[in-house]
Formats: sequence, C-alpha cells, structure tokens
Amino acid sequence: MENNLRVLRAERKMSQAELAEALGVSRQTINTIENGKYDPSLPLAFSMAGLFDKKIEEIFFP
Amino acid sequence: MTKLTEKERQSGKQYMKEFWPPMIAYVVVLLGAQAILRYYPETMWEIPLAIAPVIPIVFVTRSIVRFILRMDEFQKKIFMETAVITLLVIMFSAFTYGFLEGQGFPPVNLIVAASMICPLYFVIFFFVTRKYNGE
Repeated sequence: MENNLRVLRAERKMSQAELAEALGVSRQTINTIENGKYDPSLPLAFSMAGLFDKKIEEIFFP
Repeated sequence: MTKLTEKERQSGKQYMKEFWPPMIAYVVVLLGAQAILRYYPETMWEIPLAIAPVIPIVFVTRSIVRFILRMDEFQKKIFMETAVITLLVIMFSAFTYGFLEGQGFPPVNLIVAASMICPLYFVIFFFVTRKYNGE
C-alpha cells in the first residue's frame, strides 16, 4: 500500500522521531510505513488520520 | 544509532529493572547450589538444589515477555517473524541431528543446545530487520 505520510510530515515540519512520539510508536515503525515496507494496523492508521486531520484514504491508497 | 522515543526509553528502563535482579539472583543461586552439591553430593536436597536456578529464570522470562508486550505493532511483527523462523530452524536442526544420533552420532547436551537459541535468534533478527529497513 502506498502513502503520502512523508509529504504530510514534511508539511508540518515534523521529524520521524516527533511523529513516532506523537503516535506512541517507534521511529523505525514510521520509517517502514513511509517506505511502504509495512502497512499499519487500522487503529494506527486512524491515529495518523486524526493527527493530520485527514481521512485514512487521503493518507493511504492502493 | 536509532533515536528512541520516550515510550521506548521508559520501556527499556522498566525492562532493565525487571531483568537484572532475577538474573543476578540466578547467578547467585546457580553458583550456591553447585557449591552445596559439590560439598554434599548425597544430600536429600539434590534435586531441589539442581533445579533451584530455574526459579529466578521464571522472573527473567516474565521480564522479557512484558518487554515484548510493550512493543509497538511493527516491533511485535518483527519479533514474531524472527521467533517463528528461529523455531522452525531449531525444529529442523533437532530432527536432523536426531536422525544422525540414530546412526551413532554422540548425544548433544540440552543446555548447550538451548544456549545456541539466543545467538541464532539474533542472526535471524538481523536478516528480518534488514528485509524491512532496505529502501
């Protein structure tokens, strides 16, 4: 699954570590999601959507 | 070096607090039990003393399980993949050597065999992590 997490994070001038801190996950988790190596669970995807004030489908797409 | 989040730092601290006291107790009990068994080999406490080091190991195991449960979903996934592959490699090796033992190969000490699990886990962990970290 593709995503535009890196773009959203850059728009908010957040580092991977800051995003990880905000979501309560590791920086490695954010890195693998951004690189498309790992698809997050639905609860984590909802947390991301809430943080960026977007719908899940605006962040993740096939 | 990967920068850790506050949650990971707290989890690491908690792990150290829960891991080291029983680990130190394990070494003390192990050395103490061995010393007693060496001087009093015919004691009626032979069996309880021989397995006494297992008690602190139960708490070491508890600390590791609690640490794993505090991991985030991706870390758990990596842990699970590594654990399953390690288990399969151990099963494959055990069956293979079991067949060889049937052909006269010397029996393997179980403690030595069990000690190989940790290094094997870390080798497999390296490859599993590399799979996800590659660009």
